Amino acid sequence: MALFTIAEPGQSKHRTKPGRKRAVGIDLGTTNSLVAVAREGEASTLAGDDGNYLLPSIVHYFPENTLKVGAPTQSDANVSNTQTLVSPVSISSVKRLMGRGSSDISYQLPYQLQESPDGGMPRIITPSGPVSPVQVSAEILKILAARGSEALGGELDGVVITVPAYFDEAQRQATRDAATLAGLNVLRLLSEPTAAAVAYGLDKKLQGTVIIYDLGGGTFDVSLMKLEKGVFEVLATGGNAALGGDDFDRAIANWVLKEATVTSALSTPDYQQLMSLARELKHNLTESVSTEVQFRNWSGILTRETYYGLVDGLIDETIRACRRVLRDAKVDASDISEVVMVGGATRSPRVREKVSTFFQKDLLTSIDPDQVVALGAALQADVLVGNKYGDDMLLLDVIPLSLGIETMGGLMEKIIPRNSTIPTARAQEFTTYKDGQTAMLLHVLQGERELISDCRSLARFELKGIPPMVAGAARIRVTFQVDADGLLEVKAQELATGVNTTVVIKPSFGLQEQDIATMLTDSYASAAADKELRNLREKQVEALRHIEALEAALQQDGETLLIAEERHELEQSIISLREAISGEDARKIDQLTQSLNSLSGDFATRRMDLQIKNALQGHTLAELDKFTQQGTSK
Amino acid sequence: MNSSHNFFSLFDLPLSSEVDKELLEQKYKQLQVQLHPDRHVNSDGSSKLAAIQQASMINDAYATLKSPLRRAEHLLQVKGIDTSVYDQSELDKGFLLAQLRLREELEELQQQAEPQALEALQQRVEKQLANIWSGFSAQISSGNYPAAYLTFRELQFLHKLIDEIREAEDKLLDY
Repeated sequence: MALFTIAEPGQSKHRTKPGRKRAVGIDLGTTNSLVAVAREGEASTLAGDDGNYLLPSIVHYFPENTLKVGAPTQSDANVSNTQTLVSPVSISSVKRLMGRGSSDISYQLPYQLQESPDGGMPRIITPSGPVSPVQVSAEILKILAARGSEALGGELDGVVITVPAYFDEAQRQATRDAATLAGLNVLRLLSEPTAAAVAYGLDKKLQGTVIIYDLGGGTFDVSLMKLEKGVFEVLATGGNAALGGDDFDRAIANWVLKEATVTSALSTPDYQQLMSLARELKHNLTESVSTEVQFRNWSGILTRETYYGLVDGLIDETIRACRRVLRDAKVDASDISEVVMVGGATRSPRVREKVSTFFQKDLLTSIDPDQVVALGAALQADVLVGNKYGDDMLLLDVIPLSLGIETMGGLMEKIIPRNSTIPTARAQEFTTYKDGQTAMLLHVLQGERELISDCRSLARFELKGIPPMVAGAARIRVTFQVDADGLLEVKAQELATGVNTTVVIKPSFGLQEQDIATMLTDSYASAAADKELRNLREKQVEALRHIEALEAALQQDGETLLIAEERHELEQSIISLREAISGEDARKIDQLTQSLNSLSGDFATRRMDLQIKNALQGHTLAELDKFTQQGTSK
Repeated sequence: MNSSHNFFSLFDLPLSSEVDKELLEQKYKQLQVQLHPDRHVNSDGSSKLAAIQQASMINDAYATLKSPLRRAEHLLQVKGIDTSVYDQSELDKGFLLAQLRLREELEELQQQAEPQALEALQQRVEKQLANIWSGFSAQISSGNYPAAYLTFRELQFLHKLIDEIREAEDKLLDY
């Protein structure tokens, strides 16, 4: 029985049984995006009204705040021609702009950018005004989520969104912001190769030490993973967040321009036409050894040999990343049991040939390379949302790039090295270098190079209120905490005098909470009143979720872990929050939820400690034997 | 995270310079299967935060016990040695001199750009490391922790040197 099927739109097979929660997996790709659902370990991608499961990641902006997501159609062009003189702006490959500044973009884009006032992501100029890459991504997410809720027959409880494994902090944060803007509850940001491994692991029973080679439209990832009894452990990951199949097309396009001796810059429509010509030539060359080219009044021949000359350098770069990953994990190529190919660009015969030669292995391509990531994400979403299937499945992912802080002399000191399993926390102590110094500027960085100018700057913040002391006497502890989504929080505390100043920061390329709030209000999709009502509803639902979870915990462990007074205090706090929920003051609900949260902190920690103890009590007899032997031989 | 934690007892493993890697991995996964934040996605905020911290600690513990050098340091800390205090003059002069020579050798090989010679150097250093490691294990078993601490410092020197050799190889082989 094939576990993966493609559902027709409106098909009722996914209607959720009562009590089951609704969750989907979303692959937010550079070129195409997909959504998939899972039920009892069976995943399928969802098609749109046009019957296609691939949604082109293109958002068309028209005047007067109208927009459309997906492939361009003839009627769109007509509308713009008849009703107004302003042409629509079609934004493609927006994933390449996520969490990036203008200085990162070194290639021609078919649309105009505007510098952001705060030095963050540039805005894209559209007939409806400037939009952020985060807003554009949110529009794509909304369409996919709508497909999901239509298929599942109700509002979604949560989504898993995939990101390239090699995405850094700023890019992950931007993706999460897009989901928030689209009004989605993100259960987890999941690395694309890891998602693919889940699909292969559950459907094809893949086991052992495997390589996931993922070449998408705009990003490349390679992950070395160990798959064993439902545990998916990433041993090392590498890649390039700005290298993909699109670059192959661009290389061909540049060749055409050079051969046709076109020196002047192309207009946007001309450039788009050239890119589709490049894609056509690429396809032709998979079948034949040469193809004819016509561009304007120039014509010529592109041979397969010339084409290989154009793209081999790009493919070799991916092979180098594979070598580095093996070396990082200290694993030999001969220890790899399978090489899994993921992403549309791995359909290229040249890519397959080179990867297969490097690993000396046949390649695994039995699940559609376009769909596999979304399918894996759907399976993980189904587990995370709390539907029973796959209770023992566990994903252990890593951060792709080291995180650190600027030290004297413009050097980067690593605090969390790359390939650390997440979640992870590390603390490091620093000191003042001047007598009487009362403030310290902390500069958070990501990257592998020694010089800070070669690393990505994530945030700068100042720790103030250090009591004046002689140089070197203050002890400032900087703690990096990376959660299971790979998102970072940094805290700094002055320890020597007991004065605690704690600053929690988010990468500056991501949006501030305030920005998101503003965008939510600005969003022209619905009126302000709707927003307020939705905000209230969200707060109520969230508060109820907290109460239910806490009550369940109290029922289970309240008796053993809390003294009567503590328990009473928690229960009182629950009662006040319940009262607030029945009212309509969203801010009050939020405040009381927060205070209930901080009040229940100790209880949560105690429960965790208890769980650790219980978790280790399931030893088998064989293990116990081993213990005693070791104990005595010591 | 917190050096007051005893990672050996967290995984229910004997306090020793050597670990059974398979057993360690099995214990680690046994803990994470139950405690990972993925198991707490629908919990209240405090439980979520506690789960992140707990799982971070378990990941740190696993990474510490997997790496011989970090395991050695943690073992000494559990035995009450303050590994942040350190006086290089206590180290054996002969050892330091030998280290200096090895470093000079590395620099020369880097200039000659000879990957095979680098590989040979790495093997020599690894052999020396293995010798010193067995000395460390013996000192731990006999309970001589201050002496084991000095040996640990020597191990640190050699590990750093191996890292540098690997880095030089990386550069040469274009990784």
